[in-house]
Amino acid sequence: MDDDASQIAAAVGGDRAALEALLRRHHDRLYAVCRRITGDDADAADACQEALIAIVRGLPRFDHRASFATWAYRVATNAALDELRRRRRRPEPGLPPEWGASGAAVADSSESVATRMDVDAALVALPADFRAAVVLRDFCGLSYDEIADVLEIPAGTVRSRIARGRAALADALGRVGNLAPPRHRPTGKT
Amino acid sequence: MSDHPDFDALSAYLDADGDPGVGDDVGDGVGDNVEGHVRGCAACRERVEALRAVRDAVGQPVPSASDAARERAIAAALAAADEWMPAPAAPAPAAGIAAAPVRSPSPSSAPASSSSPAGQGRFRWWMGGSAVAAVLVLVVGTMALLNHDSHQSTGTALSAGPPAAESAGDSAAAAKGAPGAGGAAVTGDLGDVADVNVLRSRVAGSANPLAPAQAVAGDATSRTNSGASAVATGNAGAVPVPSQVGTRVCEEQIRTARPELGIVTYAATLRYAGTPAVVLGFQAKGVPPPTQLLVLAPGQGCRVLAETTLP
Repeated sequence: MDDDASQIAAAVGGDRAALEALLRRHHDRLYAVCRRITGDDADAADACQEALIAIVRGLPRFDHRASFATWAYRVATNAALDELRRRRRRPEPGLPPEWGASGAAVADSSESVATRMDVDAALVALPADFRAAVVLRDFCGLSYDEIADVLEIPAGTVRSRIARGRAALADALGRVGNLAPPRHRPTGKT
Repeated sequence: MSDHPDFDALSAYLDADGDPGVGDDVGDGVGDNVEGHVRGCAACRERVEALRAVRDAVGQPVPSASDAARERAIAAALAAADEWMPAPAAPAPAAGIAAAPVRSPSPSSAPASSSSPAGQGRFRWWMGGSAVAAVLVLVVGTMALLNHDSHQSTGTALSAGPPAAESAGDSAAAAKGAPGAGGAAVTGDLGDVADVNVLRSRVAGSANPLAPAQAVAGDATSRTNSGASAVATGNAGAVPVPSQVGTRVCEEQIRTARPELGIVTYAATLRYAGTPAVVLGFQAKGVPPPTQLLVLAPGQGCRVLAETTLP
């Protein structure tokens, strides 16, 4: 963070090399969060580029109330969500009324097929708000408070979205096991 | 009635597990009681392990960005710093180019693929080059209008409404920013537009309805900005690619001046009250139409010539 602070100060003062170093240091992790949220390489590249541009434009007004990394995550998350809205390629499904109730998906899946592509597909099928919360927690490792700050929602909502998002992912990835309450437990392949 | 912790509590318990700092902000229901229950409850332990497997799966590394994508993004971001950062001591461009103040739309005005991190110097050159290209386009276009009566001039053709699509060859050449393609930049052109009423009608009746254009505009602007050929989007025939290239400069300017406008959902060229211009449609983020239409004159520093709303 010291590096961030000093580079930000230098960049705002007109040091282009410092700005470039700052961008290079954060690019990969911002791309990664965009990639996780969008589920697509090209979308992630575009979103990451838009995020970097927004970061540069906002840098003179960055007030250090949050860490630069958290702020950058916020910008990248919003850029990724914007990218998804802009493309309108994918429907925004709602969560099942009761997670774990979609027995077919569970029955047809197994841990052996929970590959990276499965995770991408499962994440893309999540509503964007849930996806962002889960990615920020499980991929970026942000705390609930940091996620609340990034998404500008209460921490309790963060907790709920993460829980419901994970439940839906577990369902989609076939990792349900005894996750669901007994009344929703899948009965097997039909 | 089950005494099992609810799912939110188990999920939060997972986050608190091994990370005491997290436990402080996960809320009620997570703590010794949950931990004690999970220890003694095989079903809940299994549920927690299932959640842990999901967490680990989401936490897997993703493929890295390509080097080209990384360099494009960084170069584009550095270019954006021009808006507030003092210009560096750039290498002096050729005489006559540096003085050109016009940011004019032309196919050659697409930012070059900035594979070099030294994007700023290149950006300066690109601006100068685009000005020269714009002048050439204007000269060639004027000569065409004066000397080739048998051809439909741009203005004449456009005065009757949106023109038919150019030949695929023209479009592809224009999309690639090939030399001479500027004269063919009528694809996606709305033609001569006298006032906002005509503008609204042209946009509403455009071959590029807003919804598809929204997706495509996103493609064209972002990918063009990232230096890739617009033709790579595969939408060259559906959108005014040259316009997208040319409007990028104005888009950045207007979005900087008015960030509330939102995302670009429409873009085309036109001649507004006789002035070469571009029209950009903006839609505020997260809200349905109306779309805000702004007519901008790239040759006049992207001055707003007209503004209206499309329901």
